[in-house]
Amino acid sequence: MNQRPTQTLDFWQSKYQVTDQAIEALYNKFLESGEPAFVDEVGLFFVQQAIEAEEQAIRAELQQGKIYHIDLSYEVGDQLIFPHLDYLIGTVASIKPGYNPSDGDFSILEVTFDDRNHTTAKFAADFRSHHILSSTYEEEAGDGGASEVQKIYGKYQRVIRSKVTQGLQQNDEFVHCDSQWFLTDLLIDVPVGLLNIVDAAIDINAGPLNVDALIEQLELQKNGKITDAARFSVNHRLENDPRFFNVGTEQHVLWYLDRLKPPQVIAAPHNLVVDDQLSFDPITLPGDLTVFLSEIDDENTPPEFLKSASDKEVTFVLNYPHRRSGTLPVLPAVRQLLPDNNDALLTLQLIDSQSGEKILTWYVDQYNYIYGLGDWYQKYQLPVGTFITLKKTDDPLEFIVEFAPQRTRQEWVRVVTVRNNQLAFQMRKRAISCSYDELMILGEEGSEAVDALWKKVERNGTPLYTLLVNIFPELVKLSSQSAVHIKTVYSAINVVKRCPPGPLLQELSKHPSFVWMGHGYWTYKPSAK
Amino acid sequence: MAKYVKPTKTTKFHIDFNWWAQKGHNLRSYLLEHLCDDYRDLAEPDLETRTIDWVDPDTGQVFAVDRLWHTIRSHCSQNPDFIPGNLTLTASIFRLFIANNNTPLTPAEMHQQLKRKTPILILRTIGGRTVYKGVRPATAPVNK
Repeated sequence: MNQRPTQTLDFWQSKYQVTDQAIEALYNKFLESGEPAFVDEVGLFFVQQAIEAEEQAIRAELQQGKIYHIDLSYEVGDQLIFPHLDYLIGTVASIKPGYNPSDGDFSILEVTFDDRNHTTAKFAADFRSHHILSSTYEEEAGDGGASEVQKIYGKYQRVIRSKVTQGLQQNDEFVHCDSQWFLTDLLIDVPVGLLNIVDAAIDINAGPLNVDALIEQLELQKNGKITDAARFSVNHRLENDPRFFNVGTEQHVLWYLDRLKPPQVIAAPHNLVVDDQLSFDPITLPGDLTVFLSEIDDENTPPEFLKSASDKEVTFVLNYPHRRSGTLPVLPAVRQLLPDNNDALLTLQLIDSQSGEKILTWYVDQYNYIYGLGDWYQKYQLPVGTFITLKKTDDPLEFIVEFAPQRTRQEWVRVVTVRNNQLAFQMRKRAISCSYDELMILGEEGSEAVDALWKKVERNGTPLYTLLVNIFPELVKLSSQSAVHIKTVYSAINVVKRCPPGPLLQELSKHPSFVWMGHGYWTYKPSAK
Repeated sequence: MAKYVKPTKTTKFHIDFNWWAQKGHNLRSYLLEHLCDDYRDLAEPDLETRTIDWVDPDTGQVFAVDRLWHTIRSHCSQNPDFIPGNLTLTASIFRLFIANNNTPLTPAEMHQQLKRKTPILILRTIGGRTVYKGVRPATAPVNK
């Protein structure tokens, strides 16, 4: 099979370099279009260049002789080209009959290679058996067209993209912004003074602005139109100024001010931080308990235990740490709805399905939460245990957030308070106007006291077992069966310590004083300590 | 001396007949070890001097190979026990190439056909600087 070098990984990995000619051609392309290009567009352009150069070389070589095909006849003195041997050219010096009972009659050509110090090699000709070098063999020859360029680029994209980036980085004439490249000389001048206008515009907007809005503010349109060159120039200027940072994706750039970044997105709120001491080894958990890992929505549970969800919306139960921090958990099912942002901070607009109001939130990928929902929880008085739904929209940075509203009713719910420096639980009537998980719902009285207790537990390093021993009798007394469901224990323990279901189940199952009753219920027998 | 390029799992290998000639090793006496009982008695003197012209299935190059090659390939290799499980890995690979007329194979393909060891272990065995029984990467062109 005559595979061209450009069709092989070896060529792009070991032989290909971005040449001066390719750089010059790209320079001219930028001058002609006046627009920036993504690295993949440059990659395709360079592949096209390489294929054209290869074809030119092949055409020149083909003029020097006949293409070698194993089934054809040749004469002494014929110049042969061997495409499968890097287009080596040789001369037939002699011909003799070949002998191999398996292959029938054929000829042997003795070929001299002038380019290789007149070395000789023997090749078969008039060969009738099946062979990939036969002229009738169907081969995948490149056509050098657009599909061929895309096919090659698609196959070796990773290698080629890295070579392209390297080649352009070594050249001062090119400048990049994320994965877009442009000519330095074609950048539109954005003076320092204009950046102060950008600063003020974002400040007044009290939220991020996209590059088109900023260009309009700066009046950088060309004949009333916003060009890609203007977008690139402004993005490039802002990217290199520490006052600004992109809180959108590479495709949907949104600029914001560093000084307005909420502290809750720089470091995770303390309620969300899991103690390093809380280890969890799924192997140690009895099989019938692992089922409960998937029944409790917690972003810290290993993804393999969590339930899958639709790729358009996800519903989950709000727990105390997120309710208190004004955050949403980024469960694996939530993550699959969100744009991929390589750990960078991202702002999302969450649309309140009740009012249509847009809420500016921050997706903190690093710590698995979305911050900015405190006022929304407060507005609707949503308790711990509320079912929250997040839905995708056509805009990758906009989502609908909702709860299932119901007619406001006075209902008996567990209410947590602090008494004698310990959590205490009582059943109280509360006005509830949303759908909720009965096992996880919690009302709260005295947030400051709960916060103080959390800090005390954290400061003293109170073991999980001690907290469970304190909390269990409180929960058991509210139950008619003297048993507590694991979801209720999870909901309660997370009021004073961030504890995912894994370590919680592990702790319960290793102490004989906690007795597994089946169907998710546990009871407490102090005598069995 | 050719530059050593470390082979990978996707590198195709074959028996390089030039290696046997260059090293002065006797391919014929090694081939005799692979001859089955039915033909062992015939091997001498009938097959003493004859060679066949073996055509490389990839490059079309022709090599004069002892006729034993043809005998082993066309007759002995048809025996289901031609590559027994207790044969050394290098000898098994050599027999595999006789059976497939020296069509180049990757370590993964060898593993698939031999059902022995792992592709990585096969690569480690034949992909080092030491060449066993002429089994080398099939990438070098004319007069390696």
